[in-house]
Amino acid sequence: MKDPVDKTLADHIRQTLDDYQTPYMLGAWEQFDQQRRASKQRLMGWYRYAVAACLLGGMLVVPLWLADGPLPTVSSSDLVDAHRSANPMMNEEATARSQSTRVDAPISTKEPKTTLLMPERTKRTQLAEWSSSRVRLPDSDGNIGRLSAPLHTSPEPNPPPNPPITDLPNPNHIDINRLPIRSVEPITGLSLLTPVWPPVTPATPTPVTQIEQATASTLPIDRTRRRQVTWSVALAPQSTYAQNSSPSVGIGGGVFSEIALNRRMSVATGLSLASQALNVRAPADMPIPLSGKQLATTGVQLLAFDVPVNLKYRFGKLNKPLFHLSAGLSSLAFLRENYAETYQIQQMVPVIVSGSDGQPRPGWRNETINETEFRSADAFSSIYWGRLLNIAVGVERPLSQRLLFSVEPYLKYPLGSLTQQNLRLGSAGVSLRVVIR
Amino acid sequence: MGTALRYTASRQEAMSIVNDSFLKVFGHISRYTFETTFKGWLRRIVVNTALDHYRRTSRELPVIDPDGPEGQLAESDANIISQLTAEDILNLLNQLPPQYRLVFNLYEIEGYSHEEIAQQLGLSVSSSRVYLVRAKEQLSRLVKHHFHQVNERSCR
Repeated sequence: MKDPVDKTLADHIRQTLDDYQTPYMLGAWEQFDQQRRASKQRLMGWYRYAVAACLLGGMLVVPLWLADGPLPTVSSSDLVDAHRSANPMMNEEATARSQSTRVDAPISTKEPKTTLLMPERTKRTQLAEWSSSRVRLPDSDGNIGRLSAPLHTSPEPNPPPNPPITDLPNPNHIDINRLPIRSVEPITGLSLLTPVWPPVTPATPTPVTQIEQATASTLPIDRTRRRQVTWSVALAPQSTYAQNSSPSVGIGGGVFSEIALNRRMSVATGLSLASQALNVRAPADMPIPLSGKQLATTGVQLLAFDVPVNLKYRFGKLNKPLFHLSAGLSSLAFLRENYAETYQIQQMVPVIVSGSDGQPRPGWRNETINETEFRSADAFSSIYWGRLLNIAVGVERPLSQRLLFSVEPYLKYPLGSLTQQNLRLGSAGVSLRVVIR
Repeated sequence: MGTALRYTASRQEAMSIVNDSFLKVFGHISRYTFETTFKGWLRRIVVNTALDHYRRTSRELPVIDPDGPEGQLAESDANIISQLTAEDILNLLNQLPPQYRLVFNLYEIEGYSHEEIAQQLGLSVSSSRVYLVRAKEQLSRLVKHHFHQVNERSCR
Protein backbone atom coordinates (compact mmCIF):
# COMPACT_ATOMS: atom_id res chain seq x y z
CA MET A 1 0.00 0.00 0.00
CA LYS A 2 2.78 2.38 0.93
CA ASP A 3 4.93 2.00 -2.21
CA PRO A 4 2.24 3.07 -4.71
CA VAL A 5 1.47 6.09 -2.53
CA ASP A 6 5.15 7.04 -2.41
CA LYS A 7 5.41 6.62 -6.15
CA THR A 8 2.36 8.81 -6.70
CA LEU A 9 3.78 11.44 -4.37
CA ALA A 10 7.18 11.40 -6.03
CA ASP A 11 5.67 11.58 -9.52
CA HIS A 12 3.46 14.47 -8.52
CA ILE A 13 6.34 16.36 -6.94
CA ARG A 14 8.53 15.80 -9.99
CA GLN A 15 5.85 16.93 -12.38
CA THR A 16 4.83 19.94 -10.33
CA LEU A 17 8.33 21.19 -9.67
CA ASP A 18 9.49 20.63 -13.24
CA ASP A 19 6.92 23.11 -14.44
CA TYR A 20 7.36 25.46 -11.53
CA GLN A 21 8.74 28.91 -12.23
CA THR A 22 9.07 31.58 -9.65
CA PRO A 23 8.01 35.10 -10.54
CA TYR A 24 10.82 37.53 -11.20
CA MET A 25 12.03 39.13 -8.01
CA LEU A 26 12.41 42.86 -8.19
CA GLY A 27 16.01 43.91 -7.77
CA ALA A 28 17.32 40.42 -8.44
CA TRP A 29 19.25 41.49 -11.49
CA GLU A 30 20.72 44.50 -9.73
CA GLN A 31 21.82 42.27 -6.88
CA PHE A 32 23.38 39.84 -9.31
CA ASP A 33 25.10 42.63 -11.22
CA GLN A 34 26.51 44.02 -8.00
CA GLN A 35 27.81 40.58 -7.05
CA ARG A 36 29.31 40.14 -10.51
CA ARG A 37 31.11 43.49 -10.34
CA ALA A 38 32.39 42.78 -6.86
CA SER A 39 33.71 39.43 -7.98
CA LYS A 40 35.38 40.98 -11.02
CA GLN A 41 36.86 43.79 -8.98
CA ARG A 42 38.14 41.33 -6.44
CA LEU A 43 39.89 39.41 -9.19
CA MET A 44 41.23 42.54 -10.83
CA GLY A 45 42.39 43.86 -7.49
CA TRP A 46 44.38 40.74 -6.83
CA TYR A 47 45.77 40.84 -10.33
CA ARG A 48 46.88 44.43 -9.98
CA TYR A 49 48.47 43.89 -6.63
CA ALA A 50 50.18 40.78 -7.95
CA VAL A 51 51.60 42.77 -10.87
CA ALA A 52 52.77 45.48 -8.48
CA ALA A 53 54.36 42.90 -6.20
CA CYS A 54 56.15 41.32 -9.16
CA LEU A 55 57.43 44.71 -10.24
CA LEU A 56 58.60 45.47 -6.75
CA GLY A 57 60.24 42.08 -6.41
CA GLY A 58 61.89 42.43 -9.78
CA MET A 59 63.22 45.85 -8.97
CA LEU A 60 64.72 44.66 -5.73
CA VAL A 61 65.96 41.27 -6.78
CA VAL A 62 67.80 42.25 -9.93
CA PRO A 63 70.27 44.56 -8.16
CA LEU A 64 70.66 42.02 -5.37
CA TRP A 65 71.37 39.35 -7.89
CA LEU A 66 73.92 41.54 -9.57
CA ALA A 67 75.51 42.32 -6.25
CA ASP A 68 75.59 38.89 -4.67
CA GLY A 69 74.88 36.57 -7.52
CA PRO A 70 76.24 33.05 -7.64
CA LEU A 71 79.82 32.88 -8.64
CA PRO A 72 80.44 31.07 -11.88
CA THR A 73 82.74 28.13 -11.58
CA VAL A 74 86.26 28.71 -12.74
CA SER A 75 88.01 25.39 -12.74
CA SER A 76 91.67 24.79 -12.66
CA SER A 77 91.41 23.34 -16.12
CA ASP A 78 90.17 26.69 -17.34
CA LEU A 79 93.30 28.29 -16.03
CA VAL A 80 95.50 25.64 -17.52
CA ASP A 81 93.79 25.95 -20.84
CA ALA A 82 94.26 29.66 -20.76
CA HIS A 83 97.94 29.34 -20.10
CA ARG A 84 98.30 26.68 -22.68
CA SER A 85 96.65 28.66 -25.36
CA ALA A 86 99.01 31.53 -24.70
CA ASN A 87 102.11 29.43 -24.65
CA PRO A 88 102.53 26.91 -27.39
CA MET A 89 105.30 25.30 -25.46
CA MET A 90 102.84 24.44 -22.78
CA ASN A 91 100.97 22.32 -25.24
CA GLU A 92 104.08 20.46 -26.01
CA GLU A 93 104.78 20.02 -22.37
CA ALA A 94 101.35 18.95 -21.48
CA THR A 95 102.07 15.29 -21.38
CA ALA A 96 105.39 15.71 -19.73
CA ARG A 97 103.82 17.97 -17.20
CA SER A 98 101.61 15.28 -15.87
CA GLN A 99 104.58 13.12 -15.10
CA SER A 100 106.61 16.06 -13.85
CA THR A 101 109.53 15.10 -16.08
CA ARG A 102 111.91 17.71 -17.26
CA VAL A 103 113.75 16.83 -20.35
CA ASP A 104 115.21 19.84 -21.91
CA ALA A 105 116.52 22.15 -19.34
CA PRO A 106 118.92 21.18 -16.63
CA ILE A 107 117.71 22.24 -13.30
CA SER A 108 119.92 23.32 -10.56
CA THR A 109 119.54 21.65 -7.25
CA LYS A 110 119.34 25.07 -5.78
CA GLU A 111 116.43 25.92 -7.83
CA PRO A 112 113.57 27.20 -5.80
CA LYS A 113 110.84 24.66 -5.87
CA THR A 114 108.22 27.23 -5.59
CA THR A 115 104.95 25.90 -6.58
CA LEU A 116 102.21 28.27 -7.25
CA LEU A 117 99.57 26.35 -5.55
CA MET A 118 96.83 28.08 -3.73
CA PRO A 119 95.71 26.48 -0.53
CA GLU A 120 92.39 24.80 -0.31
CA ARG A 121 89.82 27.51 0.14
CA THR A 122 86.56 28.47 -1.17
CA LYS A 123 86.55 29.68 -4.69
CA ARG A 124 85.06 32.91 -3.60
CA THR A 125 87.98 33.66 -1.32
CA GLN A 126 90.47 32.59 -3.92
CA LEU A 127 88.94 34.70 -6.57
CA ALA A 128 88.71 37.67 -4.28
CA GLU A 129 92.39 37.39 -3.52
CA TRP A 130 93.16 36.73 -7.10
CA SER A 131 91.43 39.85 -8.21
CA SER A 132 92.45 42.09 -5.37
CA SER A 133 96.10 41.64 -4.64
CA ARG A 134 98.09 39.35 -6.78
CA VAL A 135 97.00 39.73 -10.28
CA ARG A 136 95.72 42.71 -12.00
CA LEU A 137 92.92 41.46 -14.11
CA PRO A 138 92.01 42.77 -17.48
CA ASP A 139 90.36 46.10 -17.17
CA SER A 140 87.54 47.29 -19.34
CA ASP A 141 89.95 48.04 -22.15
CA GLY A 142 91.45 44.62 -22.02
CA ASN A 143 94.77 45.76 -20.58
CA ILE A 144 96.41 43.30 -18.35
CA GLY A 145 98.57 43.98 -15.40
CA ARG A 146 101.47 41.89 -14.45
CA LEU A 147 102.09 39.25 -11.90
CA SER A 148 103.89 41.05 -9.16
CA ALA A 149 104.80 38.08 -7.07
CA PRO A 150 104.09 34.40 -6.84
CA LEU A 151 100.61 33.81 -5.66
CA HIS A 152 101.32 31.50 -2.79
CA THR A 153 103.82 29.05 -1.69
CA SER A 154 102.91 25.45 -1.73
CA PRO A 155 101.33 23.83 1.25
CA GLU A 156 104.36 21.60 1.65
CA PRO A 157 105.77 21.56 5.15
CA ASN A 158 108.57 24.06 5.52
CA PRO A 159 108.56 25.13 1.94
CA PRO A 160 111.73 26.71 0.70
CA PRO A 161 111.57 30.46 0.61
CA ASN A 162 110.92 32.12 -2.65
CA PRO A 163 114.04 33.15 -4.38
CA PRO A 164 114.83 36.79 -4.13
CA ILE A 165 114.01 38.58 -7.25
CA THR A 166 117.64 39.30 -7.81
CA ASP A 167 118.34 35.60 -8.08
CA LEU A 168 115.97 35.12 -10.86
CA PRO A 169 117.42 34.88 -14.28
CA ASN A 170 117.02 37.57 -16.76
CA PRO A 171 114.13 36.38 -18.82
CA ASN A 172 115.69 37.97 -21.82
CA HIS A 173 118.22 35.22 -21.64
CA ILE A 174 115.76 32.44 -21.27
CA ASP A 175 114.72 30.38 -24.15
CA ILE A 176 111.12 30.43 -23.26
CA ASN A 177 110.31 27.50 -25.48
CA ARG A 178 112.57 25.32 -23.46
CA LEU A 179 111.05 26.03 -20.16
CA PRO A 180 109.54 22.94 -18.62
CA ILE A 181 106.27 23.16 -16.92
CA ARG A 182 105.37 21.39 -13.80
CA SER A 183 102.40 21.25 -11.70
CA VAL A 184 102.00 20.09 -8.19
CA GLU A 185 99.57 17.40 -7.38
CA PRO A 186 96.87 17.42 -6.33
CA ILE A 187 95.52 20.11 -8.52
CA THR A 188 92.94 21.65 -6.36
CA GLY A 189 91.19 24.91 -6.65
CA LEU A 190 93.20 27.40 -8.57
CA SER A 191 96.52 25.68 -8.81
CA LEU A 192 98.74 27.28 -11.32
CA LEU A 193 101.46 26.15 -13.53
CA THR A 194 104.80 27.66 -13.01
CA PRO A 195 107.91 27.53 -15.04
CA VAL A 196 110.85 25.89 -13.39
CA TRP A 197 113.74 28.21 -13.60
CA PRO A 198 116.98 27.16 -15.21
CA PRO A 199 120.20 27.37 -13.18
CA VAL A 200 120.44 30.62 -11.43
CA THR A 201 122.85 33.05 -12.85
CA PRO A 202 123.36 36.45 -11.43
CA ALA A 203 121.45 38.94 -13.33
CA THR A 204 119.95 42.29 -12.95
CA PRO A 205 116.49 42.19 -11.52
CA THR A 206 114.24 42.51 -14.42
CA PRO A 207 110.56 41.93 -14.22
CA VAL A 208 109.51 38.89 -16.00
CA THR A 209 107.32 40.88 -18.21
CA GLN A 210 107.68 38.75 -21.24
CA ILE A 211 106.32 35.69 -19.61
CA GLU A 212 103.73 37.58 -17.78
CA GLN A 213 102.42 39.38 -20.76
CA ALA A 214 102.25 36.21 -22.72
CA THR A 215 100.31 34.49 -20.03
CA ALA A 216 98.49 37.34 -18.46
CA SER A 217 96.92 38.46 -21.66
CA THR A 218 95.04 35.26 -21.69
CA LEU A 219 94.43 34.92 -18.01
CA PRO A 220 90.84 33.99 -17.45
CA ILE A 221 88.74 37.04 -17.25
CA ASP A 222 87.24 37.32 -13.84
CA ARG A 223 83.69 36.58 -14.62
CA THR A 224 82.87 36.97 -10.98
CA ARG A 225 83.64 40.63 -11.08
CA ARG A 226 80.46 42.21 -9.89
CA ARG A 227 78.93 45.47 -10.77
CA GLN A 228 78.88 47.99 -8.01
CA VAL A 229 75.40 48.53 -6.70
CA THR A 230 74.44 51.34 -4.43
CA TRP A 231 71.21 51.93 -2.62
CA SER A 232 69.64 55.17 -1.72
CA VAL A 233 66.67 56.56 0.13
CA ALA A 234 65.19 59.79 -1.13
CA LEU A 235 62.72 62.39 -0.01
CA ALA A 236 61.51 64.81 -2.60
CA PRO A 237 59.47 67.94 -2.00
CA GLN A 238 57.91 68.68 -5.31
CA SER A 239 55.53 70.83 -7.20
CA THR A 240 52.92 69.20 -9.38
CA TYR A 241 51.33 70.83 -12.35
CA ALA A 242 48.95 70.02 -15.14
CA GLN A 243 47.34 71.93 -17.94
CA ASN A 244 45.02 74.65 -16.59
CA SER A 245 46.17 74.12 -13.06
CA SER A 246 48.20 76.18 -10.70
CA PRO A 247 51.24 74.40 -9.29
CA SER A 248 50.71 72.78 -5.94
CA VAL A 249 53.13 71.38 -3.43
CA GLY A 250 53.44 67.68 -2.77
CA ILE A 251 55.88 65.27 -1.25
CA GLY A 252 57.40 62.10 -2.50
CA GLY A 253 60.00 59.58 -1.56
CA GLY A 254 61.28 56.17 -2.32
CA VAL A 255 64.01 53.60 -2.42
CA PHE A 256 66.39 53.47 -5.33
CA SER A 257 69.24 51.35 -6.53
CA GLU A 258 72.01 52.23 -8.88
CA ILE A 259 74.00 49.77 -10.89
CA ALA A 260 77.35 51.02 -12.12
CA LEU A 261 78.04 50.35 -15.75
CA ASN A 262 81.49 51.89 -15.57
CA ARG A 263 83.19 54.58 -13.54
CA ARG A 264 80.96 57.30 -14.86
CA MET A 265 77.82 55.70 -16.17
CA SER A 266 75.20 53.91 -14.15
CA VAL A 267 71.62 52.79 -14.39
CA ALA A 268 69.37 53.99 -11.63
CA THR A 269 66.02 52.56 -10.83
CA GLY A 270 63.74 52.22 -7.87
CA LEU A 271 60.30 52.78 -6.48
CA SER A 272 58.84 56.00 -5.31
CA LEU A 273 55.55 57.19 -3.98
CA ALA A 274 54.36 60.74 -4.33
CA SER A 275 51.33 62.37 -2.85
CA GLN A 276 50.02 65.02 -5.20
CA ALA A 277 47.08 67.35 -5.05
CA LEU A 278 46.07 69.99 -7.52
CA ASN A 279 43.12 71.95 -8.70
CA VAL A 280 42.40 71.91 -12.41
CA ARG A 281 40.23 74.53 -14.02
CA ALA A 282 37.97 73.56 -16.85
CA PRO A 283 39.10 74.94 -20.21
CA ALA A 284 37.66 78.34 -20.95
CA ASP A 285 36.55 77.34 -24.41
CA MET A 286 34.54 74.42 -23.10
CA PRO A 287 31.04 74.57 -24.62
CA ILE A 288 28.17 75.09 -22.22
CA PRO A 289 26.03 71.97 -22.17
CA LEU A 290 22.30 72.23 -22.74
CA SER A 291 21.63 71.06 -19.23
CA GLY A 292 23.31 74.20 -17.98
CA LYS A 293 25.58 72.07 -15.76
CA GLN A 294 29.11 73.10 -16.56
CA LEU A 295 32.30 71.73 -15.08
CA ALA A 296 34.20 74.49 -13.36
CA THR A 297 37.08 72.92 -11.48
CA THR A 298 38.33 69.50 -10.59
CA GLY A 299 40.18 68.86 -7.38
CA VAL A 300 42.57 65.99 -7.89
CA GLN A 301 44.23 63.97 -5.16
CA LEU A 302 46.70 61.38 -6.28
CA LEU A 303 49.07 58.88 -4.77
CA ALA A 304 51.44 58.00 -7.57
CA PHE A 305 53.55 54.88 -7.68
CA ASP A 306 56.55 55.66 -9.85
CA VAL A 307 59.17 53.31 -11.26
CA PRO A 308 61.91 55.31 -12.96
CA VAL A 309 64.68 53.88 -15.08
CA ASN A 310 67.37 56.49 -15.60
CA LEU A 311 70.82 56.62 -17.05
CA LYS A 312 73.18 58.61 -14.90
CA TYR A 313 76.42 60.16 -16.05
CA ARG A 314 78.94 61.56 -13.61
CA PHE A 315 81.32 64.24 -14.64
CA GLY A 316 84.11 66.00 -12.88
CA LYS A 317 87.00 64.46 -11.01
CA LEU A 318 86.14 61.23 -9.35
CA ASN A 319 87.73 62.13 -6.03
CA LYS A 320 85.85 65.38 -5.70
CA PRO A 321 82.19 66.14 -5.26
CA LEU A 322 80.61 64.84 -8.36
CA PHE A 323 78.02 66.43 -10.47
CA HIS A 324 75.80 64.12 -12.36
CA LEU A 325 73.20 64.30 -15.03
CA SER A 326 70.52 61.71 -15.32
CA ALA A 327 67.74 61.13 -17.78
CA GLY A 328 65.26 58.38 -18.35
CA LEU A 329 61.67 57.34 -18.32
CA SER A 330 59.22 56.64 -15.57
CA SER A 331 56.35 54.21 -15.58
CA LEU A 332 53.67 54.89 -13.09
CA ALA A 333 50.36 53.83 -11.69
CA PHE A 334 48.12 55.43 -9.15
CA LEU A 335 47.31 53.92 -5.82
CA ARG A 336 44.78 56.58 -5.07
CA GLU A 337 42.88 58.73 -7.54
CA ASN A 338 40.20 60.95 -6.10
CA TYR A 339 38.38 63.64 -7.97
CA ALA A 340 36.06 66.34 -6.72
CA GLU A 341 34.34 67.85 -9.72
CA THR A 342 32.67 71.14 -9.10
CA TYR A 343 29.92 72.02 -11.53
CA GLN A 344 28.24 75.34 -11.96
CA ILE A 345 24.56 75.09 -12.64
CA GLN A 346 22.62 78.01 -14.03
CA GLN A 347 19.14 78.14 -12.60
CA MET A 348 16.24 80.54 -12.97
CA VAL A 349 14.99 81.32 -9.50
CA PRO A 350 11.59 82.98 -8.94
CA VAL A 351 11.89 86.31 -7.20
CA ILE A 352 9.60 89.18 -6.36
CA VAL A 353 10.62 92.38 -8.03
CA SER A 354 9.05 95.75 -7.87
CA GLY A 355 7.49 96.82 -11.09
CA SER A 356 7.61 100.21 -12.75
CA ASP A 357 4.50 101.16 -10.85
CA GLY A 358 6.15 100.27 -7.56
CA GLN A 359 4.00 97.21 -7.09
CA PRO A 360 5.73 93.90 -6.35
CA ARG A 361 5.63 91.54 -9.28
CA PRO A 362 6.87 88.00 -9.70
CA GLY A 363 9.96 87.61 -11.81
CA TRP A 364 12.93 85.35 -12.46
CA ARG A 365 16.53 85.74 -11.67
CA ASN A 366 19.44 83.73 -13.03
CA GLU A 367 21.49 82.14 -10.28
CA THR A 368 24.61 80.05 -10.35
CA ILE A 369 24.74 77.12 -8.00
CA ASN A 370 27.86 75.09 -7.32
CA GLU A 371 27.49 71.35 -7.09
CA THR A 372 30.34 68.99 -6.28
CA GLU A 373 30.52 65.37 -7.33
CA PHE A 374 33.12 63.00 -5.95
CA ARG A 375 34.61 60.22 -7.95
CA SER A 376 37.50 57.87 -7.45
CA ALA A 377 39.31 55.25 -9.48
CA ASP A 378 40.58 51.88 -8.36
CA ALA A 379 44.18 51.41 -7.40
CA PHE A 380 46.33 50.32 -10.33
CA SER A 381 43.37 50.73 -12.66
CA SER A 382 45.85 51.72 -15.35
CA ILE A 383 49.58 51.41 -15.68
CA TYR A 384 51.25 54.12 -17.72
CA TRP A 385 54.41 52.68 -19.16
CA GLY A 386 57.23 55.13 -19.84
CA ARG A 387 54.89 58.08 -19.75
CA LEU A 388 57.17 60.51 -17.91
CA LEU A 389 60.49 61.86 -19.06
CA ASN A 390 62.89 62.35 -16.16
CA ILE A 391 65.67 64.88 -16.28
CA ALA A 392 67.81 65.65 -13.26
CA VAL A 393 71.05 67.30 -12.35
CA GLY A 394 72.64 66.62 -9.02
CA VAL A 395 75.62 66.91 -6.81
CA GLU A 396 76.95 64.41 -4.31
CA ARG A 397 78.92 65.03 -1.16
CA PRO A 398 80.36 62.27 1.00
CA LEU A 399 78.99 62.11 4.50
CA SER A 400 81.12 59.22 5.65
CA GLN A 401 83.01 56.37 4.14
CA ARG A 402 79.83 54.60 3.18
CA LEU A 403 77.31 57.39 2.94
CA LEU A 404 76.81 60.08 0.37
CA PHE A 405 74.37 62.91 0.38
CA SER A 406 72.94 63.93 -2.92
CA VAL A 407 70.85 66.92 -3.87
CA GLU A 408 69.14 66.50 -7.16
CA PRO A 409 66.78 69.01 -8.74
CA TYR A 410 64.61 67.16 -11.21
CA LEU A 411 61.84 67.56 -13.70
CA LYS A 412 59.29 64.96 -14.74
CA TYR A 413 57.79 65.95 -18.02
CA PRO A 414 54.66 64.13 -19.22
CA LEU A 415 54.97 62.43 -22.58
CA GLY A 416 51.28 61.64 -22.68
CA SER A 417 48.11 61.91 -20.71
CA LEU A 418 47.86 60.37 -17.28
CA THR A 419 45.09 59.59 -14.81
CA GLN A 420 41.48 58.77 -15.52
CA GLN A 421 40.93 62.38 -16.46
CA ASN A 422 43.71 62.33 -19.04
CA LEU A 423 45.71 65.04 -17.34
CA ARG A 424 49.15 65.89 -18.62
CA LEU A 425 50.61 65.71 -15.19
CA GLY A 426 54.18 66.74 -14.56
CA SER A 427 56.21 67.57 -11.53
CA ALA A 428 59.41 69.25 -10.53
CA GLY A 429 61.23 69.21 -7.26
CA VAL A 430 64.40 68.51 -5.40
CA SER A 431 65.33 65.01 -4.46
CA LEU A 432 67.31 64.81 -1.23
CA ARG A 433 69.00 61.49 -1.21
CA VAL A 434 71.19 59.49 1.09
CA VAL A 435 73.26 57.00 -0.84
CA ILE A 436 74.58 53.90 0.86
CA ARG A 437 77.68 52.53 -0.79
CA MET B 1 15.21 29.77 -9.14
CA GLY B 2 12.69 26.95 -8.81
CA THR B 3 15.49 24.42 -8.91
CA ALA B 4 17.53 26.30 -6.33
CA LEU B 5 14.54 26.62 -4.04
CA ARG B 6 14.27 22.84 -3.81
CA TYR B 7 17.74 22.63 -2.32
CA THR B 8 17.60 25.38 0.23
CA ALA B 9 15.50 26.29 3.18
CA SER B 10 15.28 29.99 2.41
CA ARG B 11 14.72 32.20 -0.60
CA GLN B 12 17.83 34.17 0.27
CA GLU B 13 20.03 31.10 0.00
CA ALA B 14 18.30 30.11 -3.22
CA MET B 15 18.96 33.57 -4.59
CA SER B 16 22.60 33.27 -3.67
CA ILE B 17 22.80 29.90 -5.43
CA VAL B 18 21.15 31.33 -8.54
CA ASN B 19 23.55 34.28 -8.60
CA ASP B 20 26.56 32.01 -8.18
CA SER B 21 25.21 29.79 -10.93
CA PHE B 22 24.86 32.70 -13.31
CA LEU B 23 28.38 33.85 -12.46
CA LYS B 24 29.58 30.39 -13.45
CA VAL B 25 27.50 30.54 -16.62
CA PHE B 26 28.96 33.90 -17.60
CA GLY B 27 32.45 32.78 -16.74
CA HIS B 28 32.28 29.49 -18.61
CA ILE B 29 29.84 30.21 -21.40
CA SER B 30 32.50 29.04 -23.86
CA ARG B 31 32.22 25.54 -22.43
CA TYR B 32 28.60 25.24 -23.43
CA THR B 33 28.15 22.89 -26.31
CA PHE B 34 24.95 22.80 -28.22
CA GLU B 35 24.62 19.05 -27.69
CA THR B 36 22.27 19.66 -24.78
CA THR B 37 19.64 22.29 -24.24
CA PHE B 38 20.73 25.45 -22.52
CA LYS B 39 18.03 24.92 -19.91
CA GLY B 40 19.43 21.50 -19.06
CA TRP B 41 22.98 22.88 -18.88
CA LEU B 42 21.87 25.72 -16.65
CA ARG B 43 19.90 23.38 -14.45
CA ARG B 44 22.90 21.12 -13.99
CA ILE B 45 25.00 24.13 -13.01
CA VAL B 46 22.38 25.19 -10.48
CA VAL B 47 22.25 21.70 -9.00
CA ASN B 48 26.04 21.51 -8.77
CA THR B 49 26.17 24.95 -7.19
CA ALA B 50 23.54 23.87 -4.69
CA LEU B 51 25.63 20.81 -3.89
CA ASP B 52 28.68 23.02 -3.41
CA HIS B 53 26.60 25.18 -1.12
CA TYR B 54 25.53 22.10 0.80
CA ARG B 55 29.14 20.93 1.15
CA ARG B 56 30.14 24.31 2.51
CA THR B 57 27.36 24.38 5.04
CA SER B 58 27.17 20.67 5.81
CA ARG B 59 29.62 21.00 8.70
CA GLU B 60 27.00 22.98 10.55
CA LEU B 61 24.27 20.44 9.97
CA PRO B 62 23.45 17.81 12.56
CA VAL B 63 24.40 14.29 11.59
CA ILE B 64 21.37 12.10 11.10
CA ASP B 65 21.41 8.54 12.20
CA PRO B 66 19.82 6.71 9.30
CA ASP B 67 18.86 3.81 11.55
CA GLY B 68 17.31 6.04 14.13
CA PRO B 69 13.68 5.76 15.05
CA GLU B 70 11.28 7.53 12.81
CA GLY B 71 7.86 8.76 13.68
CA GLN B 72 4.69 7.12 12.79
CA LEU B 73 4.57 6.17 9.14
CA ALA B 74 1.80 7.74 7.23
CA GLU B 75 0.03 6.79 4.08
CA SER B 76 -1.35 9.65 2.08
CA ASP B 77 -4.18 9.36 -0.28
CA ALA B 78 -3.60 9.87 -3.97
CA ASN B 79 -6.42 12.42 -3.98
CA ILE B 80 -4.75 14.48 -1.36
CA ILE B 81 -1.42 14.32 -3.19
CA SER B 82 -2.87 15.63 -6.40
CA GLN B 83 -4.04 18.76 -4.61
CA LEU B 84 -0.53 19.77 -3.60
CA THR B 85 0.73 22.91 -5.30
CA ALA B 86 4.36 23.73 -6.03
CA GLU B 87 4.52 26.12 -3.06
CA ASP B 88 3.07 23.42 -0.80
CA ILE B 89 5.65 20.97 -2.00
CA LEU B 90 8.50 23.42 -1.49
CA ASN B 91 7.23 24.13 2.02
CA LEU B 92 7.07 20.44 2.78
CA LEU B 93 10.52 19.82 1.34
CA ASN B 94 11.87 22.61 3.49
CA GLN B 95 10.68 20.79 6.56
CA LEU B 96 12.82 17.79 5.72
CA PRO B 97 16.34 17.55 7.11
CA PRO B 98 18.78 18.88 4.52
CA GLN B 99 20.33 15.49 3.81
CA TYR B 100 16.93 13.89 3.22
CA ARG B 101 15.87 16.77 1.03
CA LEU B 102 19.02 16.56 -1.07
CA VAL B 103 18.82 12.82 -1.59
CA PHE B 104 15.14 13.04 -2.44
CA ASN B 105 15.70 15.84 -4.94
CA LEU B 106 18.70 14.25 -6.57
CA TYR B 107 17.13 10.84 -6.87
CA GLU B 108 13.49 11.56 -7.57
CA ILE B 109 13.70 14.80 -9.53
CA GLU B 110 17.17 15.00 -11.08
CA GLY B 111 17.39 11.28 -11.74
CA TYR B 112 20.76 10.62 -10.11
CA SER B 113 21.59 7.07 -9.10
CA HIS B 114 22.40 6.20 -5.50
CA GLU B 115 26.04 5.71 -6.47
CA GLU B 116 26.22 9.21 -7.92
CA ILE B 117 24.46 10.68 -4.90
CA ALA B 118 26.81 8.89 -2.56
CA GLN B 119 29.78 10.23 -4.48
CA GLN B 120 28.46 13.79 -4.59
CA LEU B 121 27.49 13.98 -0.95
CA GLY B 122 30.25 11.86 0.49
CA LEU B 123 27.89 9.20 1.80
CA SER B 124 27.77 5.49 1.50
CA VAL B 125 25.35 4.06 -1.04
CA SER B 126 23.36 2.39 1.68
CA SER B 127 23.05 5.68 3.55
CA SER B 128 21.73 7.28 0.40
CA ARG B 129 19.11 4.57 0.07
CA VAL B 130 18.10 4.89 3.69
CA TYR B 131 17.90 8.67 3.44
CA LEU B 132 15.62 8.35 0.46
CA VAL B 133 13.29 5.95 2.23
CA ARG B 134 13.23 8.17 5.31
CA ALA B 135 12.63 11.25 3.19
CA LYS B 136 9.64 9.64 1.52
CA GLU B 137 8.24 8.45 4.81
CA GLN B 138 8.63 11.84 6.42
CA LEU B 139 7.20 13.55 3.38
CA SER B 140 4.11 11.31 3.44
CA ARG B 141 3.61 12.14 7.07
CA LEU B 142 4.06 15.83 6.40
CA VAL B 143 1.58 15.71 3.53
CA LYS B 144 -1.02 14.09 5.71
CA HIS B 145 -0.35 16.57 8.48
CA HIS B 146 -0.54 19.42 6.01
CA PHE B 147 -3.99 18.39 4.79
CA HIS B 148 -5.17 17.75 8.30
CA GLN B 149 -4.36 21.37 9.11
CA VAL B 150 -5.99 22.60 5.90
CA ASN B 151 -9.17 20.65 6.68
CA GLU B 152 -9.26 22.01 10.21
CA ARG B 153 -8.96 25.57 8.92
CA SER B 154 -11.71 25.00 6.35
CA CYS B 155 -14.02 23.49 9.01
CA ARG B 156 -13.68 26.57 11.18
